[in-house]
Amino acid sequence: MKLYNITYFLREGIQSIFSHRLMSIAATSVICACLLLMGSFSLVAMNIDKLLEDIENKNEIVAYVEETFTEEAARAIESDILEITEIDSVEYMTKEKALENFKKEFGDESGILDGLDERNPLRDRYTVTLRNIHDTQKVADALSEVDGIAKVSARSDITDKIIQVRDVTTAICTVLILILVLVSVFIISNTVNLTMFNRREEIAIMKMIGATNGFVRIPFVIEGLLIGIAGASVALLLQWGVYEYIVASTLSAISFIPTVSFGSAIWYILIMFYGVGILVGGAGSALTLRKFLKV
Amino acid sequence: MVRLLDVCKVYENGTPALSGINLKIDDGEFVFLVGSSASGKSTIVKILTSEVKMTSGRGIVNGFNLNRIKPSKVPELRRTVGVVFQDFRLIDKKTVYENVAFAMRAVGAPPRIIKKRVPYVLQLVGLERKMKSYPNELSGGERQRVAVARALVNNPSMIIADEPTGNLDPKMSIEIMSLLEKINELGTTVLVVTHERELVNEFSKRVIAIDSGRIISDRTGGYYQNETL
Ligand SMILES: Nc1ncnc2c1ncn2[C@@H]1O[C@H](COP(=O)(O)OP(=O)(O)OP(=O)(O)O)[C@@H](O)[C@H]1O
Ligand SMILES: [Mg+2]
Repeated sequence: MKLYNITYFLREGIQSIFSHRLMSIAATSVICACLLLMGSFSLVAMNIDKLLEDIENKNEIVAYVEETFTEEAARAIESDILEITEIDSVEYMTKEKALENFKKEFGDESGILDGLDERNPLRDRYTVTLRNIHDTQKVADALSEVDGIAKVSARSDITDKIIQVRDVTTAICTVLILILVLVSVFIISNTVNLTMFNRREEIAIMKMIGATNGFVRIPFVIEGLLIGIAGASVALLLQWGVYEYIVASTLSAISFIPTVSFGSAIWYILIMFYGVGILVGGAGSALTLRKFLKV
Repeated sequence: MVRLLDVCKVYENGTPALSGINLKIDDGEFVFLVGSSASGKSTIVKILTSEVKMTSGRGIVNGFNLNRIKPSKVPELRRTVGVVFQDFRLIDKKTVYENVAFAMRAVGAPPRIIKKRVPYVLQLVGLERKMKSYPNELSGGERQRVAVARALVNNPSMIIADEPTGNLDPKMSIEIMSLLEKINELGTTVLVVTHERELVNEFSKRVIAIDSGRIISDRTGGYYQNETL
């Protein structure tokens, strides 16, 4: 395509967007809403994943050894534990060492633990890490079967809940996004339809003069694309603002929840927004074009 | 150049418009196509520009086979035929200059060429002073001349004018005809569709008369006679 044609097509496309502003605004808004939903969902998902990853990193199962076992007997269990295939590593810790760690964790307030040294209430323990967080429950079950293990503590319930929440959110959002994509395509298609209807005479004249379908079509495709791009740009700014606001005002107050910064997600969001915006805009206009070109 | 051989057209709703049309127009000719209302004149024009498909028969226009032409080739055919429509079909939002330039842009001409060619053609039809006017600021005759300029601007080998004088007074009509005659003298084939007897008789040209979808006479230098209608 030649340069002088591009400027002509752009001018025509922009002109028609402004010739029916309300419709264009409606189309832009719907795309924008659709993208915002996609973006918000993605950011939530990213945060959940980060949280899961965090838990996964800390994801240790602690298996307590029967108090009646001597240290020697306790150490002997390790080979039994290692037979569980889903295990990544196993570390043995005496109750003395555990108490020390415990005190360290309490820091300044460790005074309340004074006097525990003579009658250490803790048990010898194995700290087990997993390859995959999904196996938490399975490994916990397997550990409690091991002879000499008195009690197993795992955080499987929390992770299960989080995964469950993420899966449900994914399902709901996927359906919502699909619906919104369809609505966007429909509305863009109607907007372009309106332009074509307004300019049907012009289109008929162009066709009679010997303009190719491609030439007639391009300004309308550009109109759809521009609406898509406008929707994507507005959505991007809104998403950014809203996300930063939410992170600053709420999430960061709960300091133990790790958050994904918008900056680290920006490429993902950018590509998704403009990609979907352009696709929806193009598809919307392509849908309308056929029936007007039959002259 | 036009060749129609035994062309029939029955519209989709069953209306018969043409039956057994044989027509031969050579390059450089000036031809009147006359006939009363609903006799099928516009239908012939539409068949020549591939706007409607013939029901049976064969046809060639400027080297394009109407029976076999692919949809993607129709724009090429139409670029060889400049059509002046009865209702002008100008774009009201565009100036005279823009209306004509638009036709060039639609076929992909570069702006450099457009800038030279449009004023030249507008001067040819005598509208060089009205370039910046909008169609609704023009008289009927002036609008018709814009339509002629637009049909002309892409240098077609043939111009078809469907009722080019439909809304004009006799003096204006003669002016438009003289313009078409001048264009013909510059080498373009001209086909003028009309039902105005007086007008046709002003010129000594080939006249093809059509009635109820059939050609009833084809005489060079002849008259458009009352009794043939
Ligand atoms: N699209 C169409 N569908 C059905 N019938 C049509 C269509 N176009 C034209 N006709 C019919 O075909 C016949 C010929 O029409 P056509 O337009 O060729 O006449 P015409 O000679 O150009 O008349 P006029 O001088 O009034 O313009 C008429 O009976 C008309 O009603
Ligand atoms: Mg007619």
